[in-house]
Amino acid sequence: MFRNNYDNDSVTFSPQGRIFQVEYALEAIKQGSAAVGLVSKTHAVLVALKRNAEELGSYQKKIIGIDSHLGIALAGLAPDARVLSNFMRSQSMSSRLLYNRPIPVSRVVNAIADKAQVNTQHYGRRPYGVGLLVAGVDETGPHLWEFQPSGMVLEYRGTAIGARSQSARTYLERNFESFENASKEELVLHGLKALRDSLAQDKELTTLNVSLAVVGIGKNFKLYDGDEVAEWLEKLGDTTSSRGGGARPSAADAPAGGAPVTTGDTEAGAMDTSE
Amino acid sequence: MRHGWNPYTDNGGSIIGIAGDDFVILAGDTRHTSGYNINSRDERKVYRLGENSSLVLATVGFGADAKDLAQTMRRAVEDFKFQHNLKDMTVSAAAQFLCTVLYGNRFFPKYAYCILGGLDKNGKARLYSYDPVGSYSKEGESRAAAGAASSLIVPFLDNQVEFKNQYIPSSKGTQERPVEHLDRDTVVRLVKDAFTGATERHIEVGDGLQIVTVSAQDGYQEEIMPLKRD
Amino acid sequence: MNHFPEAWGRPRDDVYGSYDRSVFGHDAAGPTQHTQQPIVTGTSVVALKFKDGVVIAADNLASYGSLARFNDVERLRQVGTHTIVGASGDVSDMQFLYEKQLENLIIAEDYQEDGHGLRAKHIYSYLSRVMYHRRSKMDPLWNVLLVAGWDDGKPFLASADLLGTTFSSPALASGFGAHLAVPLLRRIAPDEASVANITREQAIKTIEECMKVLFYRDARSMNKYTMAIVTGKEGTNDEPDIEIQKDVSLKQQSWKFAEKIRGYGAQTV
Repeated sequence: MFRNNYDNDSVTFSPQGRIFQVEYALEAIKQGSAAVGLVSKTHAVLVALKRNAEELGSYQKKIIGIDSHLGIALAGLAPDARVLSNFMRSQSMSSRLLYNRPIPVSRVVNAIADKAQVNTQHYGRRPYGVGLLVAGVDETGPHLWEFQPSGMVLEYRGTAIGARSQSARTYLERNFESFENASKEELVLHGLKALRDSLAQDKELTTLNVSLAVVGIGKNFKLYDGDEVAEWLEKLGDTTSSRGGGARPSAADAPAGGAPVTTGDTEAGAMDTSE
Repeated sequence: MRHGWNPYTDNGGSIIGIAGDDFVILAGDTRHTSGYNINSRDERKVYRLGENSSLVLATVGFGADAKDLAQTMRRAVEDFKFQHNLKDMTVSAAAQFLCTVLYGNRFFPKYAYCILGGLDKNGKARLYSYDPVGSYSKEGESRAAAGAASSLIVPFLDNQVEFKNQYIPSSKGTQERPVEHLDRDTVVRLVKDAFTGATERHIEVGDGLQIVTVSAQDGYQEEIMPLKRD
Repeated sequence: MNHFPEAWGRPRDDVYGSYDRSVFGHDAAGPTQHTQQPIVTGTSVVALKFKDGVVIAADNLASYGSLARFNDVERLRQVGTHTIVGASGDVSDMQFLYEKQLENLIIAEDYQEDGHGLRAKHIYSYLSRVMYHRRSKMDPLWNVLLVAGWDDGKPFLASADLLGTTFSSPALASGFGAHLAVPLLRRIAPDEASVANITREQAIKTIEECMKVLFYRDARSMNKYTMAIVTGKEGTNDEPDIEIQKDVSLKQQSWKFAEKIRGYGAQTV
């Protein structure tokens, strides 16, 4: 049952300097379905794959609007994401009430990072079991942040979290150079293509399992769900993985030199909290 | 002798709300006063509750409380949207909520008179008006006025919107003129007449008239008409 | 009546005996007291928008009742990079706002170093909330504040007072200035549209004129003041140029005109 003696709580380091409860929390993210985020000079886009636990059940919500300029995509424990999103909403509202301004994206991200960090340092607490992609626009332009239960947050030009997300990241790494000047449509399609690559062999993107959201400079956060996704899937064309089979990419798949797109490696760098 | 400090003041001005069949009009003058001073000639009293909302709130009385109420309502409507899967708050729900907010401050009242308007889910106009501690009619009303010149405006609306004291000419004053919904142009004209009249007779009313129309057909529209600045 | 304001309006010790402070238990300092009246006060602040910015001015006098108590008080304060705040009313409440509240606010903001500094409308919103919050606690900050600066690519000017009342106008003045200066300012700035036709020089001249008129007729004013001029770049939120002129003296000020005025004052005939 236990991996070792050092994972009973999140306040005890292992002799190797790891905090296992936090690492397990990062594993919870990988249990969740994939979510992709990417930014251009003018827009930020979130794309996510929804899952239903049962054939007759509804699909779990993957993208949550926080404010008119801000939203999140989640992978992992959805209830934990609700707690975080409610907190983000109240932060966002306070900013508007007190300062009469939409909260800067980095500020709200740092606020949840601080909350998450507390859980890694107090006995009897549990780290959040969810990873978030935060997409938003503020006075310094569009932004995409990744949040991890360790309390680590990093800004990206494009990244993906959740099950089989390495394939999506591989797509983003290969195409990130065209993101910056991409139109809204192109950016969404890049997102869908990245998400498509994370699909298992016999799966495809449908109006039922795709959620996507766009926010732009001067354009409110807009969530596309259900039938609203159809127009985008039409533009995408092929809705199955272009990678032929859903196998994990080998190390050779990654471009040489390591593109600067996804600097935080969720697979190995889980404990890179010292930076 | 100890002079107590008064946490309230009156910042003048007036507001009007008139409901048609499928449109509602809320209006207020843009003068903001303290005693005989005009603080501003362009301070608006009618607020849209949310970017794409059909809900409109007009507040008048103590300016700070009025603005605080508008902000509270805007926040509540926005919050509701995010908490309920982007569904808009209905006008009747917003009306009940405003009542709760006002009565919640029963023992340190928000000294502001409110008129709330909007369209229900069938696109029909709804209009509610409140006293500072929240009493209102759930059935709504066809017209309301509040603020400094309300005593001048209300009887005018009684006559022109409810047709009070109007009789069918041929009946020799025995048959009342039946009440009917007014069309939009008529209502806008009534609002403008009411305020030009109030501006003549009340020193705290004037400068500008903000007219907000919400209709099933044309959505939200806002117009500013100049009023006398003397 | 003695000269300790905190004793004003209280039962006199020589009549009723000294107050029994033991009712407060160990806290012999007495009950929490809220401001019931201003003590040391500053008079008007005047401000006017012009095409590329705002001019704001306030004299350097702090009065204790009718006593001219201090003549070197700065009532204008730069807050952040885009804003000047001017305060009239109680000087200690002003200092609390400037030295504590706003100082801490700006330190906390600067510490973030993320390029999201607070501009004029943000500072104004914050101050309005503080003023309204304090009045709602029945513990007001006894001031009228004018916030001048640059925001959304255009001049910013608005007012907040001890009741939390807020409003904005192209020309504003607090205290006596609301009666004496505002009519002069509105001659050139009757509405928002007219601001585009006012030059910086014109605005400065008009504010100087207002300070002079106020000195002539406001008994709680003095002939030395501070003026701040915020000049921004139209359409941008780039850091505006803020020029603060201290110890400005009134120009061409003379009491000569008063010689012929009869009917009040020291004349015997």
